[in-house]
Amino acid sequence: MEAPGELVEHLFRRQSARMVAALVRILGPRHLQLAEDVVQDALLRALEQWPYRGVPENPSAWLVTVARNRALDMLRRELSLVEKSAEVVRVFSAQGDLLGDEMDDQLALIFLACHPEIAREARLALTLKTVCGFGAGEIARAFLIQESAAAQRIVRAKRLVREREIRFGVPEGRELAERRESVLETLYLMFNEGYSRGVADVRDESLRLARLVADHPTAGAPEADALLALMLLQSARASSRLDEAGDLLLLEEQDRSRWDGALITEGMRALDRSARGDRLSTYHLEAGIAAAHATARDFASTDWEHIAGLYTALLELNPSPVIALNRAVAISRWQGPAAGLEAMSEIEQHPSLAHYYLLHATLGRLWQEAGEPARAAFYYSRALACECSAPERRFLERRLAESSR
Amino acid sequence: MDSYLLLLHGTRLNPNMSPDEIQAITARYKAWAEKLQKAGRLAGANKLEDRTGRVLRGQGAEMRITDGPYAETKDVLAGYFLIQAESYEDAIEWTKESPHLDFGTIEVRKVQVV
Repeated sequence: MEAPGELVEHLFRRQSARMVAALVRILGPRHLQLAEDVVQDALLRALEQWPYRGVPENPSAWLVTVARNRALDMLRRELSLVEKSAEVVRVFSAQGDLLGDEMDDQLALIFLACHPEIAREARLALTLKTVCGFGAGEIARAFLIQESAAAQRIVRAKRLVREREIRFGVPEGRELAERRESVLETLYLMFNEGYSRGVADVRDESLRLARLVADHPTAGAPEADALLALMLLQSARASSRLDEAGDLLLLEEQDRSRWDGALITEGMRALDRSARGDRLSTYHLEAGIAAAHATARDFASTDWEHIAGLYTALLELNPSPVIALNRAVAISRWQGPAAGLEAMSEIEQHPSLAHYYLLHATLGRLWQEAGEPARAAFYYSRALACECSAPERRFLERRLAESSR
Repeated sequence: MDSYLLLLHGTRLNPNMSPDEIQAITARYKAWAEKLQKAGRLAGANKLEDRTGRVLRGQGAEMRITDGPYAETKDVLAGYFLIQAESYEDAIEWTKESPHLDFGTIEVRKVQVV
């Protein structure tokens, strides 16, 4: 609950997302752009007016009223904008809250933005813009792309929404499974981007939306619970991944007392819920791996045999060389460096991993553990020749120095 | 203490700012106004309506009433604050902290007591 006349954190972002969702429900997805323009206008008016007379008692309601009146003005001026305009004008003119059920509106907007016909990256950009209320500049900074590129993706996604006449609402029946898959895929992508780049805002939003999907009576499903579990269990460890200097810490170096117990508990509960039904998704297996780490008392008591088994199952569902790499790491922890190197031999020459620093870094570590520091140094140098972040680079340099000693 | 009128001219706002960015600027204005208020220096403030205004010239039958002054200049008067200050220097100290200076200019005028 907001205190009267106060501006709670992210109020504009949250409220604009809610208002856009409500307007799209009333005007139809064809008019997504109009809905966003009207809401943006309301925010800019607040900025022009509030400095003089203070923040109104109920800022959210003020914004809704201004957005509603603005929409009504536009509709009256250009009635042809909306087909069922008389009906729409009636809805806007009626007293009572423009905002309907927040959950339903938000969820319908998520399904719209994550429609499978929209390209993956455009889906992600549209979700962040429309469902989460980020600006194109913020999206661009989070994904290290040009602002114009982010804006382009959003424009293209909106055009597709218009052209395909996508319906607003949580899909039902046979359509639901396919549409949900596309939503979960987008949220997974959003989480990974936010998590790996350390953009907490993006990561938190992916968690919020995953909760919305998982908790919904019809949209929810075991896969959604599994994805939520995965996000929660990973996030629980986020703050211990870097040391004070911003350097990357290995799992065995992390201070487990800094892991977030509340997130682990919530994650384990979501993982339990995901076990209902008989579908086993990649999210289930990834969440299982995250759970094995999150619940291990210390690094030494990690159940590597279990984790290696989960990676083997994951590899069957998703034959990706990156998963095979992780599987080899788990096997090396379980059965030693020789077994790990053997598992690596299957993917060592994989062309898509040739420039992936983790492949070479892993080989470096395995040779180091196998007692061959010269070979280890060779692979660490190779890893350093790949593209990686500054903390990753410093990490590799430390390892290279150790193996060359 | 005397009254000073702060005239806030022009607002160059980027219309494509994100909701978070718009809120951040709004919060800066709010903090500035509240600081004046808490110090007992704020006597009044108002936004002036955009895109309206009349200018009167002449008298009686000669009077000409035109729209404006916004029509001739981009330097729109967006609003005003009336504050209490010891001197021009003091009024300027308070005005300096206004976030408005990032987006436009502020004209400070002492109210003359007659």
